[in-house]
Amino acid sequence: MRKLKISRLNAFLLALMTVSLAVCYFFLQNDYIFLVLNIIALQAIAVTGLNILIDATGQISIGHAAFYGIGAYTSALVTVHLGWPIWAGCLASLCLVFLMSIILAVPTLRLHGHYLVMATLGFNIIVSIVLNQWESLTGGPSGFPGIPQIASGDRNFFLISTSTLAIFVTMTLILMQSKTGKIFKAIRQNESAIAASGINVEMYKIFAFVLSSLYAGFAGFLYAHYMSFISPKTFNIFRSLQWVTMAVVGGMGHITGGLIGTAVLTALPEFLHKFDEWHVFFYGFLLIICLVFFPKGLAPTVSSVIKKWHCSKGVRPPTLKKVGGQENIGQITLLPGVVGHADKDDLPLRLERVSLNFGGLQILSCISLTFEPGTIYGLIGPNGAGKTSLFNIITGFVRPAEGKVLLGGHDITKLPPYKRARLGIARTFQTVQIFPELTVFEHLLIAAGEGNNSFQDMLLYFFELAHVRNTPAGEISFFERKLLEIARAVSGRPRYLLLDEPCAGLNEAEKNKIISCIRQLHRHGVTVVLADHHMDVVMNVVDRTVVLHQGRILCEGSPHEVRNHPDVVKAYLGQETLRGKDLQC
Amino acid sequence: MIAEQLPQYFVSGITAGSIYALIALGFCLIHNATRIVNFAQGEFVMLGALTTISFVSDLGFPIWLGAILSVFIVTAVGLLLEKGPIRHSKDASPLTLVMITVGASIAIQGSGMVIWGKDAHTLPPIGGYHYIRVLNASVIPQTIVIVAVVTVLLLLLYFFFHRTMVGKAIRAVSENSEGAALIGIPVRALVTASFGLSGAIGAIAGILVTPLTTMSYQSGLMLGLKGFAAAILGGFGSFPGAVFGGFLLGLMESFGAGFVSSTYKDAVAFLVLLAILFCRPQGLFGKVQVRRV
Repeated sequence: MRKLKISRLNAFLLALMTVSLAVCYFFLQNDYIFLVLNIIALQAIAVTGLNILIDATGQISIGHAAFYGIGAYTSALVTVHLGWPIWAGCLASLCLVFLMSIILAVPTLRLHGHYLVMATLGFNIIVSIVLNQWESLTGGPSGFPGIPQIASGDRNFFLISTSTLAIFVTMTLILMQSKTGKIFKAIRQNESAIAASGINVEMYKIFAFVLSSLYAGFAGFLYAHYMSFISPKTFNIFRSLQWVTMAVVGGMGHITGGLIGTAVLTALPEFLHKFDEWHVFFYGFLLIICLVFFPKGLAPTVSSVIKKWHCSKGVRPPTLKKVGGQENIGQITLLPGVVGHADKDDLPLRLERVSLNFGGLQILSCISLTFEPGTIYGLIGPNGAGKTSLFNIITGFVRPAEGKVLLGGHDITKLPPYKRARLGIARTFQTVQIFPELTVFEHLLIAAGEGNNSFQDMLLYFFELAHVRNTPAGEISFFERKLLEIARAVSGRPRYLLLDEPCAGLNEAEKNKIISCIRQLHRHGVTVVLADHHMDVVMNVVDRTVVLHQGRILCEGSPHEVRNHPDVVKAYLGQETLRGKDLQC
Repeated sequence: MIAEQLPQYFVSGITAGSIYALIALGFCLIHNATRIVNFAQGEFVMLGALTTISFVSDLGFPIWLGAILSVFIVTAVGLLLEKGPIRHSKDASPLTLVMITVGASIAIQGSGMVIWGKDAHTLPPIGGYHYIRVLNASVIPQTIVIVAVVTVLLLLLYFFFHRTMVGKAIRAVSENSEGAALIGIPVRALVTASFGLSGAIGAIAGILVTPLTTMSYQSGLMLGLKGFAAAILGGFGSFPGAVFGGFLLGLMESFGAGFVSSTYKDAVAFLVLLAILFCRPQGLFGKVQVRRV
């Protein structure tokens, strides 16, 4: 429902804009206003691109003006000096922008942290310097004149600029509503969780950056063939900062917000010219005021005001309907055989002499273990024993210092998390990792491969989450989030399901429900590895138990054997054994 | 022929480098305290230089007095930036705060344009224009002043951060602000102090460099960006890294300009920045961060 509402708001805004622009076209005669509107439209294309990047990565680029510049200069050069037609100039621009953005994105987006900001900043400055200094090619600071125009006159170009903007915005809105758009949102909200769901995070981020650079490049191409004269100062770092500002003021990652931000901030200096030399100061000052008082941006602020107004008028948000009681959780049987991984060959998961250390701290030393398909394993040990680290190594979030991880004899030690997830190794996290803004069902869709979604619908019923199907995960209860996390892991039809303390923080009844789920999943062919430090949780459900203690395997066996093993008793109860006497105290 | 030029390049590299080092330190101070990049850092530099020029040329103050007064003024600007918009932002997400500093940078530049006009201004160099010859290099006395002042300043800062309680507390806040708050360190006050200190350091850098390069309301941006590049070069957030990065950047720029091309002098800094980001993203002195899942 919520999703639909926002897109309705977007549609309304777009319709409003189209109408007012048409009115402009037919009733305005002032060319200067068309010039301003054209510039707004071109910048809005670039800002829309920037918003895709922000939406997908949560990072910003302060180098988009460089792509705008590359787009403009490339097309100008090939059309003027080589006599190419304008459409070929457009292609050349886009190719070069594509190439440059790939070169920037691949090394920086691989990394975590804000490297993209720094790299794009450096890139923009270099491009500015080259445009200024390479006078034989670009004409230097005095500019590049005589570029062929697409349309003569500001009023005629207005049709081109606004229709292009409309196409780009519509395309972007469709993209954002698609599965790719959901994945973008998920990446921004929780990168670890999305990697564990089998999504190649890097590739999506690079895609977002390249796409957003192409938006700026295309806008630059149009700019060159509109103004017919370009000079380097249009494409400097200051312009990039302005665009980021427009995106932030409009509402980060909010497409229509970006349009509003662009319009307001492009038109603002025109009004501020009244203040003469104070206009730069006022621009900065208003920007600060806006960011201090409306940090979420104009569009989100406005839409939350509208929502409040709706509520006060008695329009209540739709109430959640409960489908069935929670007592029969895990009781609904799934269709036999649908859960487990697509190919039915049983591949054992093996760890060979795996060691891990952070600096001088030995986390795991020389662990060798085999998980046989069709078994429920319990991994127990006190806090700090290395349970989570072991999971991180199996799922690829951490590389072991030594040793190998093998799946059915294939070495997967070097594979990134998303590839392992696709091979059928799914996991949950010790602290629940969800995407607060995505709905429950979207969580399952993202982790699912291609094909129809009936399995995901069934999972919703299986985990008793059907009543919150379309609720954002940020608004559901803690227990439901725990269930959702397991459901998301199962949604990719895993061979192995690694559950990291699924019962932590739950009451008795809830624990029992989780355990009954685990049993059901096992019955459908999923091999479960359950890490916990509560003996009682583990012992009742597992077939085999592995006890970790201070980074080593203390013992392995059936729950009964393990419970009576002297070393385990010692580690858990501190009871003295003969050998341990001098170690006590 | 080339060998004869080396000392000259070296001297100008060290001079520029010590200025970059100071600016980079300012970036690190604020970054460590708040995890944001302060885009107004370059404006502190410009403001320090131009207020000193006003005191000295318009009011006829001696240069030392003008310098001290302007350092105080810029410190106050730094404090105001934190006490005003940064602290009162309703949503303290880092990106919003960074954009606020961008706004501050534009506003300061705008007021600079109104107060000092669009022309470049300069200060008389200390010791005049009597060039001293050292090993084929002709050295203007201001260069020696710059290197000496920066060296003393760096030593003082080292002493401040390692020997005084306030300095240690600032380091504690930058390592872990929650932990620092738990043991009774007034985190907020120290964050404010970091902004003030960073303003003061920026102002000193501006005052020192002006006799050599002149200063206009726009010069802050480029100086700030180079200081930022230096900070990343050394591993963003590391104080020794910032100082080292500053000197390295100054030297590379100077030798790049000498041997390759002086028209692309400014590009050198940022090419180095890109190279570092691609090959050794944690910087020369930075630590690899362990990501928790």
